[in-house]
Amino acid sequence: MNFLEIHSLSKAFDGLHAVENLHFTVKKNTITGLIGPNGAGKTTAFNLITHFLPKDSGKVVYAGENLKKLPAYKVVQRGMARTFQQIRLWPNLTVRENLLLACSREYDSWWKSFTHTNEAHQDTQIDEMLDKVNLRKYKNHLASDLSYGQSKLIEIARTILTDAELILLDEPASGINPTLLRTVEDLIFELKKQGKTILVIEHNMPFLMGISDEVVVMENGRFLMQDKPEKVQSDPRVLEAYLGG
Amino acid sequence: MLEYLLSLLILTTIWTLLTQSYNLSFGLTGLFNLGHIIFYGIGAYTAAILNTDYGLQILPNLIIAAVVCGIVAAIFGLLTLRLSGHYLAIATLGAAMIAIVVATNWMDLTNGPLGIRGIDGPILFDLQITESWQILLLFLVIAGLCQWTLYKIFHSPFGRLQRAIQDDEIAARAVGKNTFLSKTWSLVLSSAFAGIAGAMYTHYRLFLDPTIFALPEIIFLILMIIVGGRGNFWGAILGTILVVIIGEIPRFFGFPDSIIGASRNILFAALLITTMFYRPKGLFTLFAKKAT
Amino acid sequence: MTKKFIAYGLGLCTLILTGCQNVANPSGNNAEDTITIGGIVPLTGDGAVYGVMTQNVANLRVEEINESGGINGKKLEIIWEDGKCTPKDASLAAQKLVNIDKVNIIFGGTCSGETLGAAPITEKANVILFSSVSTSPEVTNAGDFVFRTAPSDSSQGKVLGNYANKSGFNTVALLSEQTDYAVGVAGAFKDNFDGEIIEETYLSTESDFKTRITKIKASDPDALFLNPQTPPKFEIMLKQLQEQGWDKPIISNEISTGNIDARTKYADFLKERGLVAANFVAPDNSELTQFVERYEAKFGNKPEYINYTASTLDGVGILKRVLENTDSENTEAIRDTLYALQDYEGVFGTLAFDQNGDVNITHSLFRFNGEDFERLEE
Repeated sequence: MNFLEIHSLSKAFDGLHAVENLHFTVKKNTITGLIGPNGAGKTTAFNLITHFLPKDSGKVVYAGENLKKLPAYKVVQRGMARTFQQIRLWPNLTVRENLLLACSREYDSWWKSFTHTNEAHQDTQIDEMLDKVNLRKYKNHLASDLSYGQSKLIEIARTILTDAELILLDEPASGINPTLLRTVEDLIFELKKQGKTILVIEHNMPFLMGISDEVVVMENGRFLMQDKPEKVQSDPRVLEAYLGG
Repeated sequence: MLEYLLSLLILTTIWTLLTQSYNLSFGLTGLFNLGHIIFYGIGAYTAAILNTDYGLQILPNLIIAAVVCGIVAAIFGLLTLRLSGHYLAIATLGAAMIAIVVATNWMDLTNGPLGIRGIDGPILFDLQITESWQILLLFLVIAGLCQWTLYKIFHSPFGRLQRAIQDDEIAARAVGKNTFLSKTWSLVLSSAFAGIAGAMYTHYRLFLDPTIFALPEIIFLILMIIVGGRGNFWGAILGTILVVIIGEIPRFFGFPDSIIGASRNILFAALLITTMFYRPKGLFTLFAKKAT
Repeated sequence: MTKKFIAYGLGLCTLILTGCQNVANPSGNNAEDTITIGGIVPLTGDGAVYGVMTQNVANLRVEEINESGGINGKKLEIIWEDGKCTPKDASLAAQKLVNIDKVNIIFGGTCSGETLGAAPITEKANVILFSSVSTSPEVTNAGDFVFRTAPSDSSQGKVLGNYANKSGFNTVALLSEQTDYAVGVAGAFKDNFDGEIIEETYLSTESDFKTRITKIKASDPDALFLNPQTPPKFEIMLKQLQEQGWDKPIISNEISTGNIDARTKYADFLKERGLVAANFVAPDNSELTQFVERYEAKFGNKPEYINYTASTLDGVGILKRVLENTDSENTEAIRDTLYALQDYEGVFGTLAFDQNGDVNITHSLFRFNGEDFERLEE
């Protein structure tokens, strides 16, 4: 079934159509890639879908619910979370705290956020996650101590810890070395195994084609095509979009 | 001499509470609130009016002052906290000016520029607390409770969220936090403690007029927070004490009266510059508790 | 980095130790040959003009007293503190004077806020608070040990209110500044005037009264009472009134009597409006005139406010008299002597204090004749 449906999504900045009449679908428990040349509007699409940017028109339906004008933080609570193209960690908080803030129990009652809740459960979750990304020893370091690649991993880890069902990753592979890339790949596959759905923006074609069940292609803010990776890779329109113009 | 030291200690107790309250909204959450003095003044006026018009004494006045400030802060927060930093700063400054106008003009309530005199000193259960050391003890207990509460707040999950919001609010929303509501809470709590400090001040000094809303005071608050380190709980206390001590140096130094004012300002400027150059995160980073 | 901190630290310690040394040996209060009292005036900030003038007058007078034998052979000395025209700073100043310098008498404050802010501290310590400039009605009840040689603003409002009644005004428009001085005057006026009052108030930050004047004109009162805080505001009012063709009588507070520029500029306008102002003015007095000359010789300019110069002279003079006959350490006795004072001949005449510590000076009315103010007989 369609876990995510995008209908006629549009957004213009001062007359420039960043996203125009975009429509595509994402099936549940799949890994879907989102590609397109620079300026195609992919990150803008992410921002619109997750409500970090208000849309001019269009409809976003997640898990059968029309999100309408739901505030971004509520969208996350519904189960759709995302990472950012420019990594957004909290540099003055430790890695542990960065992850703690995402663990779902923190959404709970107002009172609990003042009284010191028992965070042992969350610490277990965090330790497991840190082991998965091999960053356990940085647990109590400030996030500002991490390298670029490590920060990226932690941001992905944090997004996963929100317990989201639909995870949007914005260029998770950019700027990291092959070893870390492997770790990211493993994480994504494991998420799928856990029943999650993932939507990934990427420029690293081998990586993306290698993990995706389906790929959506955008050009100039519009939908170009959506199909299996092999079909997309050999489609002349896609080659045209990347090389032409 | 002892009497003078006691009075200084009493004032320092009140001011460290005021600074700590500001540390919550400005230091921890990073709200660029330039009008924090409003709450100090509202707390003071609430206590003064309740005392002179209705005969209420310090303990109930503290609580009511905190509630009144919290309500004002809630309304103000809901209206302005969607604004970004610069706009928030301007809005809070505007609010501060409105507060002065209200206090000056609403004669029926505040007696306007004439001020309110004849406020009672601290009276507990019909017992008048007149000796300075007794007042100091009482205020230490009250401020101590408040500081303890603020300590708990700083080191709670809520406090953690405030630090995150200061670093990157969008990221906080990206993990499902209602940052708007959270910031409003920070402002509400911050204002409530400022109100308590104001009520304590008025029951100590026994006279109040609109000059309590004077805008330049916010500069001192910011100075104390920067010296102590933004969001640093112990820093706010030590920063206040340090500023008070430095402020008293010219006086004790035997400087001629004509230049005490100026020399004090020079010392404060030197303190600020020293902090910014050598320890921009605050002079007391040694005391910054490792993040929880 | 550490070396720097050690250096700063040592420097700070030295400062503190030197300071403590200073405190341990204060200037010596009530030593064998001096009587030391405190003084609180605004040396900086809004009220500085009043404060510095008061300080100068007091200092000059004290200097003259000391040169001619002092008080029973002892020199009189004043330790001044800056009250900055706020209750907060005045209270800190009072705290320091009372608890560190251990004075028994404080001369001041100047701004009423200073006096009211210092009073709780002086009252608690049974220290005499003696103001020569504070005129807020609130000072009347500020304390048992609080005295002042300047008349309350309520006397000003009262005198103007009575005048308005006698002149047969049924409605008076009131253009009033929201400061403690003007509010005090306005309040007393309202208490004493029997007719209807149309009030327009403004904040000290404003300087455009055109809309208010239009409203006042439209309400067609019998007279207009101008109640500004400062001479510049008064001048703006006149300008805008003249522009809008105000043609009814004008009464005003004492500010109009101090503003020579405005009076000259708008002389005809004011004369035609029959300007009557309240003021407390020392009768032509050679003692005052000669003092003013000595003031000018020493400080280079005449004192800005003659009436407060006179009240300050009287204040110092009364203290001298009292201290000549009473032990300076016995503040209760000093207080009693002050209340009992009957026959002190000051610049303002025979002075005495009522049961609240207010001096027996009242305001009088003066009419502007085109050049100067003439006293209006009752």
